[in-house]
Amino acid sequence: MPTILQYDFMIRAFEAGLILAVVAPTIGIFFVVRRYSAIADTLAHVSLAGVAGGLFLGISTVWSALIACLLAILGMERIREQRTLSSDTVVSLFLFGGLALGVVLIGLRPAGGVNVANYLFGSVLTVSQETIRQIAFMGAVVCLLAGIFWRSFFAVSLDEDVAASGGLPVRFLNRTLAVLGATVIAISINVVGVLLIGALMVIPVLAAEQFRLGFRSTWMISLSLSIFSVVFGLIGSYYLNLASGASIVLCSVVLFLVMMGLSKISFSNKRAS
Amino acid sequence: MSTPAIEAIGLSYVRNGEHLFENFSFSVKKGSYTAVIGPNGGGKTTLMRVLLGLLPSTSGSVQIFGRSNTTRDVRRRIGYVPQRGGLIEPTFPATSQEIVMAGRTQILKFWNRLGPSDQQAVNTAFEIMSISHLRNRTFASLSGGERQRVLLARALAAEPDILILDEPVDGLDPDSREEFYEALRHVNAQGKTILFVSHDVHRLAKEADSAICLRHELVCHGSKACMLTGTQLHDLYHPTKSELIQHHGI
Repeated sequence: MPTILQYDFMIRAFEAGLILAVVAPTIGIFFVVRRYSAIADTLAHVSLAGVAGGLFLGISTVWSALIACLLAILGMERIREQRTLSSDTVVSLFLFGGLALGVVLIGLRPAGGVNVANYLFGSVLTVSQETIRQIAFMGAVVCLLAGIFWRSFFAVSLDEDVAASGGLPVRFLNRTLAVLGATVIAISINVVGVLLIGALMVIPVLAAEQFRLGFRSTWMISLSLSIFSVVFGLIGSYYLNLASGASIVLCSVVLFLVMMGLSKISFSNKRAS
Repeated sequence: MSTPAIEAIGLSYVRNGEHLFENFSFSVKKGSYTAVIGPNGGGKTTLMRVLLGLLPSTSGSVQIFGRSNTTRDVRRRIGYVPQRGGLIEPTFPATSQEIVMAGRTQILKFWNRLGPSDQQAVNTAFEIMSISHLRNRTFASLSGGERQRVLLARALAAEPDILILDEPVDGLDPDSREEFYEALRHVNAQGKTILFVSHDVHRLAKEADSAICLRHELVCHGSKACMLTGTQLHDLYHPTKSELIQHHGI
């Protein structure tokens, strides 16, 4: 058995990472095709406030991050519906406000005990057996709901107006998608870190998009790339002693560049023939 | 007398204090092919969006087959092809097959899987539009005409009773337009009601059997004769000075 798998904490990291590798692009693809990547990033930053709140109150950071993300989604929706501020302004307010609130709450905590950098950039050491159970449960719920609403999410992502004119409950579907996005972010904190979660949802999908295929094919390729990034990112973080989140995201960025190069070669070959 | 497919009763829409249209009442017969014509900014697209329930009217109501257009069951009976491809991002990663299948979503429950009858409806939509060869092509790789035909196929996949098309042939070459009109004739012959917004007045005068002509007010509706009357057509597209001042502040 390779030495990396002789440690329980690495086995737990692989278990958590592989669940995330499936759920992140499954929800992320809808954020990418709708150009909502900034919202994923905002929720990730807000989740820091949730993590800090959880540490402050001594409750599970997964649940506290989820609650913070859900409150942020409802708040953003509410302000947007009032149409007094533009979407960009609302997103920026929550992104910087969430980060600042997280930093303030962390500052209020008595010193010692927890290294906040673990939550910012991810650390496999923070993945406990209890965390795995929470990630597995929430990941299963996300996959189940994504399966039920898959066609509707696709129809709404394609064209909201056409979906609404056909009687689809667009507002309900948008909120459900946002809640699923918030859940993915909350369960990703320990492995990827709040500053890099958005990348795991977005970059494998952007890499898969380079092949200019259909929706299902793009999703399947993004799943493969995401799994590859998580596995090699965790191996890299173990042997090179790097933060797991940064290592995983760097792997996905390298894959994105490779896919972009491959697609350019493939399209120039097609044109030449 | 049978219930009209669409009935607008005292419909008004005010945006930023400006009346885009006021107190419209008209009905569209079941199985008719109705042209909706008028100048740019005359309220055609806004009227379509109000009929579809995408915009709430300031006053008045819309009935589809005798029921409010706000109910989901009623909306399921409508197929919509928006202007210039609608909100679809040109780079959206989807094949024509996936886009047309998305049309079935409005008539299925969330948890229903696509069954043989759904697949049959999708196949029929592809055949009516003569685009079976485009099934596996991505939306981004299609020409403008091909995209419009895919979007009409998506609307047809839901097997709607009413089709609302907002300037669907704009920007298409003559051959693509001809194929589009041909497909619509076929669909109309099957008993579907068509509401077609366009500036292609002379062509629609041949295709349609009734008309709604509007320029902030209902210039005429019912018989398509009003489309053919030279003076009225000229008046429709050439507002008077007082109308320009009233609606555009010119």
